[in-house]
This record gives sequence, C-alpha cells and structure tokens, in this order.
Amino acid sequence: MWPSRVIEMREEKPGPIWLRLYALTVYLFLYTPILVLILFSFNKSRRNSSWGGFTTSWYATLWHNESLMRALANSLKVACLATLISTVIGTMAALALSRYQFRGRETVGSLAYLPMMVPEIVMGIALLTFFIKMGIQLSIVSVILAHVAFSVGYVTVTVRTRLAGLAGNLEEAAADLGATPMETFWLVTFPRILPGIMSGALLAFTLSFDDFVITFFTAGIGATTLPLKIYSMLKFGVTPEVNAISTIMLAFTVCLLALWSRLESDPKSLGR
Amino acid sequence: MDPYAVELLRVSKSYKSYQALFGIDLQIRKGEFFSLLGPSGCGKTTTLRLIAGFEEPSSGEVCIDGKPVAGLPAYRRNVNTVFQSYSLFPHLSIFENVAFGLRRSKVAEHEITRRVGEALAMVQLSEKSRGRTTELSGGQQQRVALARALVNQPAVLLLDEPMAALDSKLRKEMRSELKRLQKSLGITFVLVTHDQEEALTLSDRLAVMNQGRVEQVCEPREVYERPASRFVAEFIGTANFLPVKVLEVSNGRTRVEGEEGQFWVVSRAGFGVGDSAELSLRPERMWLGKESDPLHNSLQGVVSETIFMGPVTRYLVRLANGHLLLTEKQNLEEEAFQTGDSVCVHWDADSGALLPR
Ligand SMILES: Nc1ncnc2c1ncn2[C@@H]1O[C@H](COP(=O)(O)OP(=O)(O)O)[C@@H](O)[C@H]1O
Ligand SMILES: [Mg+2]
Repeated sequence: MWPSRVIEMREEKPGPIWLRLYALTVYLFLYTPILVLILFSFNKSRRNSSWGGFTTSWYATLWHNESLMRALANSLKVACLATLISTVIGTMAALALSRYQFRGRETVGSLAYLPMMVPEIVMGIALLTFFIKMGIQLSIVSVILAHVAFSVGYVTVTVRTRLAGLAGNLEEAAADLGATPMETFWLVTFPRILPGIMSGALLAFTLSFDDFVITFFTAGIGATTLPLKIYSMLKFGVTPEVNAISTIMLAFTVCLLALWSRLESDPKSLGR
Repeated sequence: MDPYAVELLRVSKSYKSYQALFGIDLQIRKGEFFSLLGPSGCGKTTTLRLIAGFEEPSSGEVCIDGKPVAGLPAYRRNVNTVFQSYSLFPHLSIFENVAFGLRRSKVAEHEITRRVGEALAMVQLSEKSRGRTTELSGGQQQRVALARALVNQPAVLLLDEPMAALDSKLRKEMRSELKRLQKSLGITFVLVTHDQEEALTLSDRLAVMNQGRVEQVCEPREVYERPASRFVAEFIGTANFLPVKVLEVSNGRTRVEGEEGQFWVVSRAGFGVGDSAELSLRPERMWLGKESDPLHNSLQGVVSETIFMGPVTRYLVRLANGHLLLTEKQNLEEEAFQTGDSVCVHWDADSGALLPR
C-alpha cells in the first residue's frame, strides 16, 4: 500500500512560492516577444508601435502575395524531399549501426550526432564550399542536399533509440516461426520501429522547414524558401505581414512538434 | 533404428573469449520429454539456441531427425521455441500471433482459422483470440506462446524456462498442463530449467549440466538415487557425503571404510578395491533408532538439533568424530527424539551411492 502513497505525495507537493514565481518570470521572458508578435499580426495599424484595432486582413494579403506563396511552395518541396531522403538513409544507417558489427562502428555512430553540434554557420559555409568545389549549381537541389545532410543524423539517432528499446527477441521469435530475414523485417522490425521513424521524419521536416542559415548559404536563384523570403521582407521593416506569416509558421511548427512529442512519449501510438 | 529427434555430438561453443559449452553429447529420443537441468549460467540456453539455429557451434555437430543442420538458418528448421520472455508480437492480435508460423508456410486461410482455433482451445484461450497480447496476464501470455509454437506441429518443441516468471501456484498448474499436452501430442519436448522439482516431475529423461558440461543423462529416479557426481547429488535434493575407501567388492555389494566405520553399499562400475570414493546418503533414506542394528549400516551419534518442518522433522546428528549427519524422519505417532539424545543412524546398503572423489 504505502509505496503508492509516497509517489502521490511526490507528485502533488507544490514547489515553494519563490520557485513558482521564478519559473513564471523565465517563461514570461521567453514567450513575451512571441506573444507580442502574434498580437501585432492582428493589428490594424501598419506601425508596430501602436495598437490600431483588431483585423485579420494581413492574413488575406499574404494569400495574394505571389512571391511569398512561391517561397512557401519551395519550402514545402524542400522539406518533403529532404525528409523523405533523410528518413530512408537515416533509418538504414540506424539499422546497420545496431545490427552489424563492423570496423569504425562506434565512430560512425557518434558522427551521427555531429550535425547537431556543429554551428549552423560552419555547416553552411562547408556545404557551400563543397558544392562549389564539386561543380554543383546552387539551386533547389543543393538546398535539398544540404537539408538532408543536417537532418539525417536526427533520424538515425531517433530510430536507433527506438531499436535499442525493442523488448525481447521478437526477431528471433519470427525466425523461429519460419519468417525469412525479409519477412522478419517487414512483419516485425518495421512495425515496431515505425513510431521512431515517424518521429525522426517529423523532426527532420520541422528542422528543414524552419532552417535559415544553411539555406541562406546553399540556395541559388529561384530557390528562395519561406525563411529566406521573410528575411528579405524585413528590409521594409517589421510589417504586420511579416508578423502574420511568422505566426503561421509558428503555429505550423508547434503542431509538428506536438505531434512529435506525442510519438516520443507514447510508444504504442502507430506502433500497433 | 529410428534416428534421434535431436543429437548433439561433441558440441562446443565459445563467445569471443568465453567458452560456454565443452564437448556436449546428447541424444534426445523421439516423443520424449527431455529436460536440461542446471544452475543459472551453466549453458542451458546456449544449448537450446544451438538446436533452434540462433547460434552455430564452434565445433561438433547438431543433428535434427538424424540430419546435420550446420548452416541451416533458424527459419528453415522444423523446431519451435517458447522463449523465456515469451516474445509475443505486441503489434499483432492473439490470433495473428498464433497464425504467424502458418502464414509463413502459406497454409490456406480456412485451414489457418481452424488450426489457430484448435491451438487456442488447447490452451483454453479461445474467447480471447481477437484481443491483444498486452492485455493478457503472465500465465495467459505463456499459453499463447505455447499455442504459437505448437500450432506448427514441430518435430521438436524447445522451452526455455517457460515457467520461471509465473507465481508458484500457476507454475504447478502449468506444469501438469505441459505434461498433458506433450503426452497427447507426442511431440518431443526439450525443456530448459534450473528448477529440479520441475525437471524431476516432468521429464522422461534429463541431462544435468554444470559449467558447460553434461554431468549425467538418465531418468529422474536414477539421477536422484544414483547421482554421477557430487555436483549432481547436491544440486538435486540434499545429501550427506562421507569420504571412504573401497575394501572389498563381492556379489554386487561393495564394502567401504571411512573415518566413521565400515559400510556396505551397492556396487557401482568404476570402483575397485583400494579406490577413494565418496558415499552419498539422502537424509530421508536413513532412520533413527535407539540401538545399533547389525543387519543394516549404522552409526552412533548424538542429536544436536531438531528442525520441525510439518510432515517431517530434520535431525542433525553429531557423530563421534564431530561431523554432522542430516537425517529426516516422518512425523508419525511414534516417539520423537530430543536434542541431546544418543541415537543410532541406520540405512540400507542400496540407499547409499558411491561417487568419485
Ligand atoms: N552472446 C553471448 N556472449 C557472451 N557470453 C554469453 C553469450 N550468451 C551466453 N553467454 C555466457 O555463456 C554462459 C552460459 O549462458 P546460458 O547458456 O545463457 O546459461 P543458462 O541458460 O544455463 O543460464 C554464461 O556465462 C553467459 O554469460
Ligand atoms: Mg537461460
């Protein structure tokens, strides 16, 4: 009986008042700018300094801004393709890393973390240099390649974690019942790691969709993505349109991350 | 002659620097309930995995149904395994778990429905077939694992400590169910266990393993009454050991002498006059009396401790040389002995066993 009471107590005991005030301050500091941005995307006045009443007309203007819509289309194209490619490569890498013993396995395994550590600007310059040296035209293709390069590691790490957490010898059980290695993969391994793959893919998509620095270095003419477009719009100041498109991006990203955290926290979702 | 269901010939297995098995020889007969019994870490699971095909021996040969299976992958061997952790597929329904093997061998749909139904009925889980394995209790998962393996009608069923995770009441029920299934299906069962009671009650024959070697292969009664080594005698039940020397061998009887005196014991191959040996005595095969009895082996001593255990009482008897002898006596309506009583311990010649020293 009593162990459950101990847990209850731990869960229900609130922190001291100063700790709660401190947490509140931190959150206010972090989120006030974002809240202001969202608020001013509904501002009737063009100036960001004063409130002129509520309107949703800026969102309608966005819809008719052709170059902005083109940038959005580019962003979606890049994010989808980069996600697809990095998910396939990343999943295969994770399988190889956890299934096979080979020389340099540890090194390759830690290299997967590298793109997460390397400063984005360094990664951007390195990729730019690489594309120029290799004679690859800067275009939407180079952007996709660059995005694959930085997101593949995230997929590998996520899928690897999932593979490591697979309970028992399910694959041996499948083989024992007469499943060939191929059948075992598609009938047992794949369904079990699918949540990991999905969560890796979502992460890759979010990172690609939001990326500015690396895209800035590797995009050619006609490959302007949404973040690049927003940046160029800033030349005319922080207009309500910029606030509006930023709000949409924010909402979109938050949705993706919410989906991702659901996949991560609930091992059974989609895995059934 | 009919080939053995499973045969291991001088099989050794090394993992990197660690040698887990040393030249195992085993012949498992068709339709027999065979157990591999031994303490944890002695190589039982490894042996089972060699038969299933999850590992290849480092040297030696594994034969199934008389044919060598070297290089034959697990999915091509006609054996099925009940894993220690059950390893049910959590993303499939109970029905699909059981149907998994049949689908791999392309059995027709209506046949699958029928056979899965029968298999689930056999383990009393018919009404659960559409449910999920995660909703089952440990005992029920165990039954699904059993049905999933048996539905394929394998030549051999391998079971790796299938009852280790169950509570003791459920374990006893499962035990009799296993025995009943094995008898009615006539499939060869190879059971891995560290539970001597389980091995003794279930097996037709068993192999006692220790540190990667097989110590003895025989029937349960023999392993208890004629253990091949001190390890076997101690692992299965309890025993007293007296160091002795062989004095005389005649008419199937052997006379030995130890520090405590001279005793008669049933002769055993391999023990000649002058050999050193150990005499193993089971506590319940000895009885206590007041006076010495020339018709039986006997020893004088003093009761130094009594332990009441319900149906029996255990007596620790201190001998003249200071050694302690453990004896057991049924609690019938006759006199019991008290600590400090002078007693005589008796046993028949065929109650002792000679062991190599
Ligand atoms: N894959 C492995 N790699 C290294 N050592 C192993 C491996 N599998 C088993 N062993 C070792 O081999 C010995 C026998 O193991 P096992 O067959 O599982 O014993 P049991 O089933 O009798 O408890 C143990 O000491 C164990 O640590
Ligand atoms: Mg084991």
